[in-house]
Amino acid sequence: MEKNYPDSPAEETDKDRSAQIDAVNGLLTRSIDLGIESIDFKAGDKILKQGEANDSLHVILEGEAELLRTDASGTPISVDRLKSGNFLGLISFWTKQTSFSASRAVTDLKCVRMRRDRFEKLMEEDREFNRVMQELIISNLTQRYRRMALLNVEVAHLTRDLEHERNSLRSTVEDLEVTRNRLIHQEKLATMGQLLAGIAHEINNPSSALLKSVEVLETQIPSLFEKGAPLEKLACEKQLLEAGSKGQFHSSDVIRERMESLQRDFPNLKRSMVRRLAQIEPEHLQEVAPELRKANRKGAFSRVDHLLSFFEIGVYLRSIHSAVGRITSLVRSLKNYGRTDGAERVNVDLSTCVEDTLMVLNNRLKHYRLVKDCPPLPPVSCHPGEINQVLTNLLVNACDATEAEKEIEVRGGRDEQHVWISVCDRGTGIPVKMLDKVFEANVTSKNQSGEFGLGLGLAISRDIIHKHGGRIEAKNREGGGACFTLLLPLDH
Amino acid sequence: MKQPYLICIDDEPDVLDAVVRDLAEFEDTFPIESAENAESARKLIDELIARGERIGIIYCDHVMPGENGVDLLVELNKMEVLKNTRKILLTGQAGLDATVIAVNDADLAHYVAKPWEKENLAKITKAQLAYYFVDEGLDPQGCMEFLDPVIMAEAIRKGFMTDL
Repeated sequence: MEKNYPDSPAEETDKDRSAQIDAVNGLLTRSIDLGIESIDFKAGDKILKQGEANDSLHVILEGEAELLRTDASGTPISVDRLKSGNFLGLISFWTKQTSFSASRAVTDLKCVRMRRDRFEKLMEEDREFNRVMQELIISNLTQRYRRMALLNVEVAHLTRDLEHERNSLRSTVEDLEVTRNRLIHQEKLATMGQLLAGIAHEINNPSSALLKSVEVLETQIPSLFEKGAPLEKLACEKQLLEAGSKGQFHSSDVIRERMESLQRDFPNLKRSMVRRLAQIEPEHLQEVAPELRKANRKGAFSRVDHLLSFFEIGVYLRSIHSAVGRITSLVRSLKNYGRTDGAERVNVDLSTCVEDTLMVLNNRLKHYRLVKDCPPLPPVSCHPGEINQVLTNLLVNACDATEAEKEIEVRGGRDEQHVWISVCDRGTGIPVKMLDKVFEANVTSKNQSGEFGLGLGLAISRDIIHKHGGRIEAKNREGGGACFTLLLPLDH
Repeated sequence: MKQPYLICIDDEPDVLDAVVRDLAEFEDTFPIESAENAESARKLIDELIARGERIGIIYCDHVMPGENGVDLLVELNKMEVLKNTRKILLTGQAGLDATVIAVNDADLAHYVAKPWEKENLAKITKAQLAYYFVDEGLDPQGCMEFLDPVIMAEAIRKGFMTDL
């Protein structure tokens, strides 16, 4: 690094310089009678050594020398430049302490040199010499002092510049952190998208086969009872089959009530049979009442057993159908949830993102009371997989803040310029001094759970929403709890 | 003698139906009752106790809205009259911590992971009923086919049934 020593014309007064030059010239002309020797150095010559005693005083007549201080690591550092009129070794000579620095000729040097005994004698006996020396010494020292003061100013400036650079580096590092997190998250998202797509595909095939099979069964079995078909005469069985395919699973209380009533009416029936009968709606039970009474009287249960089988065929066909429906929905939501369409944006109604995310998070959300009010919304251009991640983040945060059985609200709507989705909880809310920092990286009120693809943090959520040209806001609610709202602009 | 009850607790109706259905062979000897959550399970159990019924086995899911299965079993285990009742977790989601609490504080007799196999569930039920009969000192005559033969044989060898 270039050192800027204060240049003589700029920093030192003309008066100082000309006084020094005069003094030096005076010395030169008298050097012979004063008995002071002249001595020359070539560029690069070492003159004085750091840490050595010095008994000579050098004055530079022509040329430039530099002072070097070697630091603890052994590196010599240039601490000053000296020109004509400057002393070399003044301080070590005067104080009789070892030399603070080494000196070296930068250019060829012409100097005069005075040994101590000569100098002391001259100082004592030659008044003119004494006066000139004193002035020269003082002007050297004040020169050095000024240079040192200006160097300190220089240091202060450099320190300030360094501080600026350090601050800007620090903020660059922070930006890089955020970018890195975002990239890692995108990786995770892409990997998860692939996994989900793969799983969805695998599940889809057998699930389609199931659906097809049950749909066929649901048509073909009833058709066996039609006119001309083999089971045409089994009217009772047909009714029960139909009843089963329209029924539903009842709560334990309902079953228990029906069982108690059936046991009163038909006390000879085994309890397991009574339980099966309790599944049948009372109006359809009329169909089999005669058979039940007969069985109850005679103790012959096989007929009732067969009738119940028809009912149950209907029930379990329906049950398969409904379960396959659930699998299909879930698979569709999983595929949507982990969508990574690459750089392409797609037009999506955000309310479907809400549906998909709610389905995927159902297991977590079922501990709370979910209030959902999200009508279909005009489509906006976005990356639905990323929006799902943001919704997941907000919902998981809401779950973490909420006690079991308490409310979590998910609402959606539009205004003139945006579509918005909000997730609100009745937890403890956001501490007031964190409100404007809640979207910053490393601001958290809980431990990192490290769940794959979930809970990525509000900083990344904000990143994603900003990337979509939207905004995300947090505020505390009246009555306690927090509300997070994301807004995306409507395309025009 | 009134035979002990089997209780099934699960919040999902189709799962509850499946459990009860798989235990159908036992129902004609050991009546089955069911509940969808901890609260109604408690009510049911209190009613049965008040009627002087015994409860042989409780099959309980863990993840339920409101109180979870492990907490319920821990509470029920404090009831003197249910001391010998076999408490079983029948669940897809009880983590290690919850299971440890169930073992230590609810005296958990068995853990069945969902999905279960019908034959396996029947086998476990026979074993647990056997333990219950032995602990309560009940006369197994008339229902030996529903009690695990190895456990019963061992118990008889040790002197069970000499006072009956």
